[in-house]
Amino acid sequence: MVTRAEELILLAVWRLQEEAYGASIRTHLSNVTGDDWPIATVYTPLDRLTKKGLLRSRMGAPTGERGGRSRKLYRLTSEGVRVLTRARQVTEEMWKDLPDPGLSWS
Amino acid sequence: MTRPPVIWLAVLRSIVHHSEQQFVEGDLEETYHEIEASYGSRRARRWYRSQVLRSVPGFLLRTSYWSWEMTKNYLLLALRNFRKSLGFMTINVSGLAIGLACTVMIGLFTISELSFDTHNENAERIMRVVRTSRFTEIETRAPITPAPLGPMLKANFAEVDDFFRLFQHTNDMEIKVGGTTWLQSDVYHADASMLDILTVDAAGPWVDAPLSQAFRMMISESTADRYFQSGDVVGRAITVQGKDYVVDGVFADFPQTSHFRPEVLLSFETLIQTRQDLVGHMGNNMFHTYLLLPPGVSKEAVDEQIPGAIEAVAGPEVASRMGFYMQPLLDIHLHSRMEYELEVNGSVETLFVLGVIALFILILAVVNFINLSTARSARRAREVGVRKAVGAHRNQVVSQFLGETLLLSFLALVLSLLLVLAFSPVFSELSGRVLDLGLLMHPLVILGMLTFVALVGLAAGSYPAFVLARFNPVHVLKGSSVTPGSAGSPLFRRGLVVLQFTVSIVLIIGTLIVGRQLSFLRDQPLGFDKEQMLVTRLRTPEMHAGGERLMTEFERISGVSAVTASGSLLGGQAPGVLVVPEGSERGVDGVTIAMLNVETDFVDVMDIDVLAGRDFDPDRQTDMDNAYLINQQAASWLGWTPDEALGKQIVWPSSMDGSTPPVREGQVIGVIDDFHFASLHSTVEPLLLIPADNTPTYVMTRIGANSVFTTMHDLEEAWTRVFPEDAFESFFLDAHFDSLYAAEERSARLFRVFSILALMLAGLGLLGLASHTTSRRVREIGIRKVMGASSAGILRMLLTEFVGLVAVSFLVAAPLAWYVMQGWLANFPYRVGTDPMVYILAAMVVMVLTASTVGYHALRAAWSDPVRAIRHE
Repeated sequence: MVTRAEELILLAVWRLQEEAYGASIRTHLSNVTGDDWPIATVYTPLDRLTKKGLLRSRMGAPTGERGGRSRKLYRLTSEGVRVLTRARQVTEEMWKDLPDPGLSWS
Repeated sequence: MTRPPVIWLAVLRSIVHHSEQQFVEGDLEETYHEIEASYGSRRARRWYRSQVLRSVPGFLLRTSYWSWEMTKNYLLLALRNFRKSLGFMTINVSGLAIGLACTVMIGLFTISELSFDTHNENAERIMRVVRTSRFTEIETRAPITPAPLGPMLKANFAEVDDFFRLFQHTNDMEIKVGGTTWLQSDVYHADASMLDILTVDAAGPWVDAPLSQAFRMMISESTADRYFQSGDVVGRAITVQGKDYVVDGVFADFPQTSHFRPEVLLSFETLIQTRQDLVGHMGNNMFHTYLLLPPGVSKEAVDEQIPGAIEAVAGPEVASRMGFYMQPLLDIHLHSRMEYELEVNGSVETLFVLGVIALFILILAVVNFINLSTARSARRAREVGVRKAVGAHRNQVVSQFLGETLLLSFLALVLSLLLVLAFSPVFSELSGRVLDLGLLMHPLVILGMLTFVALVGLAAGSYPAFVLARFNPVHVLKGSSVTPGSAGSPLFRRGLVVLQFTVSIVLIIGTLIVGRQLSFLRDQPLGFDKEQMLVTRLRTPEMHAGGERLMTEFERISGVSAVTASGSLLGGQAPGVLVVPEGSERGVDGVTIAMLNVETDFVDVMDIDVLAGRDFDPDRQTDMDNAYLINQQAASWLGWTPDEALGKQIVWPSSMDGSTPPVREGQVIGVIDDFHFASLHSTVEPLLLIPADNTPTYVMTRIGANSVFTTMHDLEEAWTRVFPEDAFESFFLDAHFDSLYAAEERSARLFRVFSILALMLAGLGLLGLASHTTSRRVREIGIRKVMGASSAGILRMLLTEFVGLVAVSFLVAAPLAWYVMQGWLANFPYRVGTDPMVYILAAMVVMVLTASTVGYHALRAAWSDPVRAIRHE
């Protein structure tokens, strides 16, 4: 099982595909959730996921807008894809046949 | 486009582990520029700041995680490295550990020596009175004073709050408790005020005002345990030398760090009531007087008034020759080495020399550690090259090397503490002092040791760390000439070697001279024949009375060649008496002179030369009643030649004012050659011999060389016939004289052990350094051999450098050692001369050590296959 934050990050990496690295993941997550994620809270789960074998990292080429610094790019492993699929199933299973909370509150 | 704010970038750098710095900084900068493009630089900067601030906790956590990961890696590497060169590491660590252990032990010893008598709450205010007398050109000082001095000072001086007196029984006392007899040492008569002035702890109940009445006594806790297995001790009766005393209380044993440690205290009041002849007048210097000054009063305030006081009491003539001064209690143990000390004191010189040795050993150990670590790391240039080539950061290389040496130095600390624990009994044996190992647990000591070891580790690691880290990996890997020298320049390295040699040579010379001086003292002719002389002490007045009978019994034994006796022990302290010699400038009011009470055949049996006049004649009653023998020193001191001295009148008055008849009045009948009746720590003093009044104290029996065992047995039987109830105790006079130099012997043993350790450390260091130097020159040696150099030539080349260093060290060390040892020898009036052999021997020892350690490596290098050496590079 992965935590909610890790699940979000796995999803972000999956969405960003070849462009998944610290800054893009952070921006994507901030845009979707509306919170400005501190960069440290992105790296910790990234490392943990890498260590668990759900992500693989490699160094990219340095670019100008980064002040000549290279990027650390992330990609899902097949295990990562499996875990993500399983998480989705769980979420859907949990939601199944529930009355819509939005409706009942209104 | 602007740059992210520098300050926040710096903050970020300080919290992000360097392994992640690049992409974290890049990520933030990239987003910064995006925000700047859309919303302007102010907003971008604000965002950047909030990002950094909010990331602090997260990154700190991550950094410590990374650091741990890296540390694990370094530890693994370090262990692998240690295992690869296990022998080298063992030498390196154990060398430092031995050095640290020596220093710690000497340090603990020093602390114990410095803390003497500090357990007394009033220590700063307590003074001991020292008497000076100037009868000869030399002023003599002794801590013995007449008994009335203390009360007089207290009554007349506002600067004296209180006093107490001690009378030390230098001989063992016969003590009877119940049915058991004990021979008790450390028995003192003491004033009751001692219990208040010194800090004496009670062990059990005391009566009110203990020791204030005659025939009262107190005993130490350990003595009480010995005498009485259980029950109340207060009020019990104990017989001391035939007199009955009552116990007033038990005191806790005096601490190890007290300059005297009494076992039995008898009340001074006993002396006052029974021995007025001793305590009643000012002429009898037998008592140690201690004063308690009021707070804030300096000893000088008392010292200043004393001459005036003496003049008022005894007149200007006496005042010019006699004086008293205050010696602080805290100075007694280390700064006082007079005759008549209560116990063997320490000496600040020994402490100083030991301190210097400790420092030397520490320097040797640290220099070795640094040199060896550096030499070792030079071989790892290639490893560093590889590490840097695959991307190791400079800081990583630095911290790896520092970490390794730190690890080694801490390992050495742990090992040294184990060594201290293991060897503290040995050290106690050598030094005669039990080390307080509890001090090692003191936080300041722990902090000090950790700091020191950390500094050593850093020093040893910093050269390789910083130099190797700076290497260009390409050069290193190509094998260009990057192998660094040892620490710093060759001059610095040679300086360290010279330092080591110098220290070693000084220590060897010092040890040799101390040893020579001791054997000199032992073999010095004393002016009498001390060989084969068995001494038996008659311990009680009853025994004195039976002395004549015992001597007659002894003389009958076939193995005994002669028997004589004296009133005090040779090699001990002869009492001083006040006499008035006729027609001597010095003698107007009398002079104090040492007096020895002897049997009439003493001079003959002891084989002392008579220079003028004649020996005592037992058949002349006038000799027994009136005659004196004086030694040559006494004659010249009183201004007489030996022949002039004959017939001179000497009066030994019993009181200063002449109201009572003199103890003895008579003429000098002979002048004898000077002999050492005391130890060789002092020159021969003027001496007066008078015939004993049939109450010998020390019976001296000369035994034929061939039959010591049977004769001893016969002597014991004879003793038992005379004194059936008392044990036979005896010792040989020459052994007794040897024991006078116990303190020097002890220091000599300490010096010897630590010098050998220092020498070992120097050898270790040399070994490491030689291996380093030759390994640096492997290729050079290979080429030389290929070009036709012989093995002997190469050996000579490698040895020459070190031999030169030894020569330089010797030139520094020899004068230094000479100077230091002359200072030490100045303590002895009789001392060995300078023997060049000592210096030559020291130089040779170091030379042999060098030749064997350096030669070993040089030979290996010289015999190696040149092809391999050259191809290797």
